[in-house]
Amino acid sequence: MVTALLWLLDFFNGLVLAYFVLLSSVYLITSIFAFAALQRYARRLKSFDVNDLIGSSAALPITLIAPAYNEEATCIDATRSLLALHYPDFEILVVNDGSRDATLERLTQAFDLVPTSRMRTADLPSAAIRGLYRSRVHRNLTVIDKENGGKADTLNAGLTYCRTPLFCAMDADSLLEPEALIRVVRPFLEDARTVAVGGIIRIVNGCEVTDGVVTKVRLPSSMLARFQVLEYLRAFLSGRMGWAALDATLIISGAFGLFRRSIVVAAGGFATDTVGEDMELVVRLHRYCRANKIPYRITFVPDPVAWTECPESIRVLGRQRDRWQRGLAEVLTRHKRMLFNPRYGRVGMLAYPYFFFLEMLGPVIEVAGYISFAIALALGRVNGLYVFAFLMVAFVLGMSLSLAAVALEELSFRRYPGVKSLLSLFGLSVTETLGYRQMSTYWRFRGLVSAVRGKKGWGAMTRKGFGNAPAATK
Amino acid sequence: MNQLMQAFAALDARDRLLVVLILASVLFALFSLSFAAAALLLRWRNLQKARRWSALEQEWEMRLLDLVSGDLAPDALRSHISDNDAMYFVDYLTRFAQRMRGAERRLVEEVATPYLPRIALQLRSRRAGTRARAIRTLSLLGLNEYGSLIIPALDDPSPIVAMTAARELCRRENPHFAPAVLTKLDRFQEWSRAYLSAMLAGIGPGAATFLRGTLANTRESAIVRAVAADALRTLNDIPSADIAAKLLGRVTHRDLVAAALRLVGQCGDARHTAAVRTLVRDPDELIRAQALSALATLGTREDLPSLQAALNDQSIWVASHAARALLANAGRAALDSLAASNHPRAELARAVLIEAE
Repeated sequence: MVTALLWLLDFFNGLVLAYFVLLSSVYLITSIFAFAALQRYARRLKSFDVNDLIGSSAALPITLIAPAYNEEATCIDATRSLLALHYPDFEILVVNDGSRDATLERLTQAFDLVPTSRMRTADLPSAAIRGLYRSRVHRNLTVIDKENGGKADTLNAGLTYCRTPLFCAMDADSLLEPEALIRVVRPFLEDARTVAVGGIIRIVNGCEVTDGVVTKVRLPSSMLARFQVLEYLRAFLSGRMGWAALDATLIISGAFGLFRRSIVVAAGGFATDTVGEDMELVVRLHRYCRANKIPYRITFVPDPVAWTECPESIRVLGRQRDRWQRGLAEVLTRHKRMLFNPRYGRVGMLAYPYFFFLEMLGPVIEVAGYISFAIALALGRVNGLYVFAFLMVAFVLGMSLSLAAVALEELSFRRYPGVKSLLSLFGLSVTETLGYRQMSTYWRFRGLVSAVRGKKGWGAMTRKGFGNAPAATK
Repeated sequence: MNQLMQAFAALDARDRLLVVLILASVLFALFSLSFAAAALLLRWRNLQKARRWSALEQEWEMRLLDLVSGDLAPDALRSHISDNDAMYFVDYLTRFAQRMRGAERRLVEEVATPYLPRIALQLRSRRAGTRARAIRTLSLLGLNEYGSLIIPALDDPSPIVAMTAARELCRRENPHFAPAVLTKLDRFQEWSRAYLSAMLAGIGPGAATFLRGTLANTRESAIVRAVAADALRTLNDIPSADIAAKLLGRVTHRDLVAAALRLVGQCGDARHTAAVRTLVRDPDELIRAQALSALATLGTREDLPSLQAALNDQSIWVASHAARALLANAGRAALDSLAASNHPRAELARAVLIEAE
């Protein structure tokens, strides 16, 4: 019995090692693909003038759907920043998701809203609509007031009244850069099969924001937020860019994505029974298009930027990561038919297994790995030197992946000016593995447990607002 | 090396693993150092470049302003540009040229002329991005002279290079390049049709004759003809309405029929109304919607019953086109009463009435 347990322990330690090698290899491979793709993209940008599109009838009309729940602190700035976007033909649908604060009143006052009627263009499930309002100041601004139903429900309500071929799903507190729409629409022009495109999300904490536009990019002062800056660089520049280069995009962030309305409506809109509605939609679009033999393309472009506020407290960050992991697990188990299914091409054979085994189940293996390592060490099954060497590999590998992302940022967009910022990002790459990674693993593990238990809901999120706006708790 | 391999083979499994882990640590540490060094070097190089270019650009801006105001001759300006900076100077000129028009623009192009043969050599680069950029530079600073070199790029194996060539050849001042682009339009079928038609319309009215020829040409693909129709509509080309109207009832490709209806709706007159009316009950909702939309401009009171009937169309999009057409054809009363009723399309009627306010 003891021998069997010890064998199991050794086997599990081997499994942890294999997981670690596989995960690192995937990260390295996506980073290499991302490097090549970013270089190609940078060269392409030089032969394309974004201003060519401004004022051109080629620019496909876009509706921005901005869900708002208890956003009285930020809704006016956020809406103003949307109104200031540089794009020839767009309209904004702010959807008030039954806010309990003065969101609707603030919007009404700021934009001179009056009741209106609007054609329903789709029949998607959403909570009851209480009223529709149009701005007398801005013809392209409409506010939909509805009963509370959550983000997916709110996006569905917006989609029900969307009348343009493309729509942009975003968070109410996302700040889009003025040229973001022009840049994100490009894949739709270059390839008519395109059904969805994601842009890059960057962290606004620490930056200077004037009239809803980020005017000075700086690293945040909070260490927790700084770690997230590094995480986002790694996730978007190495991860999403790499997967897009492999033509296997499985996630488009809910904070900023552009979609073809007709396909999303035909596929049934956003799923309201998951907290991972952004990923769920993308996975479902893959399935829908393949099942209906619709030629399609889902991709990521690295230069349209949406700025978002990240949590600065451990409690709120933990809740966010718990929710993300829960969403991931819900989506991946719901669409498990795609796993290793050659019918879904690279998505089914590469991206899905990666997210399923390494991203979804990864925290379980990591947490169990820490425990089994400790047991093996206590029982003398491994010596201290072996453990030290293993931890050292984990440490330098984590560091090199983060530094690769920093190098990719430097190679491409260089949004963080000053040598001090760069050195700071180096420092974060070194220190991130000592504590932050373990915390993150724990939150993700907790999220997976919550998913197994069937926990629902988003949890509260505290926002400071842009500029000097007062704090708001959602 | 052999000795090392032998020593490694002599170790037991655990020790071998330990050696592998140590080597992996060293390898990844070297990776980390390389990435950090690369980032630092890139930052240093970019800062140096930015400083140098900023100073150069300030100097060039002053000299170019002297040039356009007639205080400096092109030769004199070029004498200030070192050979090392020449390619960057051309890059700057492309940006500066876009701010200039007429005689001033021609002066800037004259300054660029001696540098363009070097840019033309880049058309042979192995990198698609470099070729595309060269096409853009040549087009902005010497399209008339280098247009003949850009035309073959429409057949470039890279779709981006081919599209850059097409886009650059479709500039307003050069309608004579239109046939070259139109004959290759099939190649760009995966691009958005709105983009292609806007690109062709960018040539201006000078392209209308060629576009009409493409629209009427039965040997062209339906998609290319549809793009031509939409470009003609953007150009508001009245004579093309006759060609489009003749297509109605003769062609079946839905995109071509819809584009022809849009063109007739915008540029047609009473002579074309009958052809449009035949399609308001077409089984395809796209065609029904476009036919109703065309009736918004071409219809008469005679069309009120069919427009009212179309308000009940199963497609909300068709019904919305019908409502707008009704409003445009003195059917406001019908729309008002619908808006005041409990009819399923009352909300649509109210929305269209508000839109019209």
